[in-house]
Amino acid sequence: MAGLQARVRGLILPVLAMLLLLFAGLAMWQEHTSAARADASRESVAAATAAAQAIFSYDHKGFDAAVRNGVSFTAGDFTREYEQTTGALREAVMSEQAVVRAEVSAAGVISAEADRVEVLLYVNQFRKNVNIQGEKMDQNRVVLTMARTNAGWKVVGAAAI
Amino acid sequence: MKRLQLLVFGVLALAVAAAAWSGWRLYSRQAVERDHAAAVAAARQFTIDFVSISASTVDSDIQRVTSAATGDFAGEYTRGKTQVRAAVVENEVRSEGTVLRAGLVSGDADSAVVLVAVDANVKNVKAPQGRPAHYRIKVDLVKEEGRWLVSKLEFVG
Repeated sequence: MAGLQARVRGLILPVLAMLLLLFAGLAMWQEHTSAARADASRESVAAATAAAQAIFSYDHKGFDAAVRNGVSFTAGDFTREYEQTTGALREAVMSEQAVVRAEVSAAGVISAEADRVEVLLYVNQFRKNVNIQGEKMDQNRVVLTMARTNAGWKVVGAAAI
Repeated sequence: MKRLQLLVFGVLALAVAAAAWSGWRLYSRQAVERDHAAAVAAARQFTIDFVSISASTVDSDIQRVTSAATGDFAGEYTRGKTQVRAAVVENEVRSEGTVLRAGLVSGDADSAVVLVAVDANVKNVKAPQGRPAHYRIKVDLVKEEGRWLVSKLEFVG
């Protein structure tokens, strides 16, 4: 009986050490996840700003090249959506000789996971075409969903709100 | 036996140190995330309060904004409030705002910048049915005595 008690007593400290190490491991993993979210936020905001400028700008001169450039900022199903949208726009852009230049005036993170981030952007679109005198500016609010891919952060969803 | 005991104590000491260190790191990082979430929540509430103003509740509407503002911005708002009040009452304004999305631009332990996309329905004598308004708002916040207060509000051009 006394021998058993001694053996149990002898196990207390090793078990305690193991529990503490387990806790340390879990905490480090959680901290790592949280750090990954912060990195994802920073990287995807920069990527979203460049992407918004590319995909919301177009020009009747060099339209196809601009669309190809826009495509390079997209991934997944959204690539086809973007191609369809710009394809449907093409005729009007040509006949109106439209030029649209997009500028991002502010960007912030709505929500972030390590591989997926939702970004809110204030996008100004400066429009010129044969139907308007001079230049018009639209103030838009856009949500871009960014996903981490092998080729960096890409747009996988876009919505004007 | 002596040597085994020393080993156990050594491992235990290391485990205690590892747990304390990693626990503290996790705590500080989560504190930052909690701070950011609190700043965004404060920004959402503030922008709703800022664009929601009605002739029938004008004094409490203005009071709500003043109590959550600080610094130069609070001073400016307080100085302009007599004019705001008069205009709201005279035009029978009834404006109600809703937040569509809010996003954190930057933030640390005691300051943050947040974008808030807000829509409002603004009714007044000229538009009794109401007119939709779409705002692009950016607010700067600072943490004072544990509360996130707005130190700047800007309609982004």
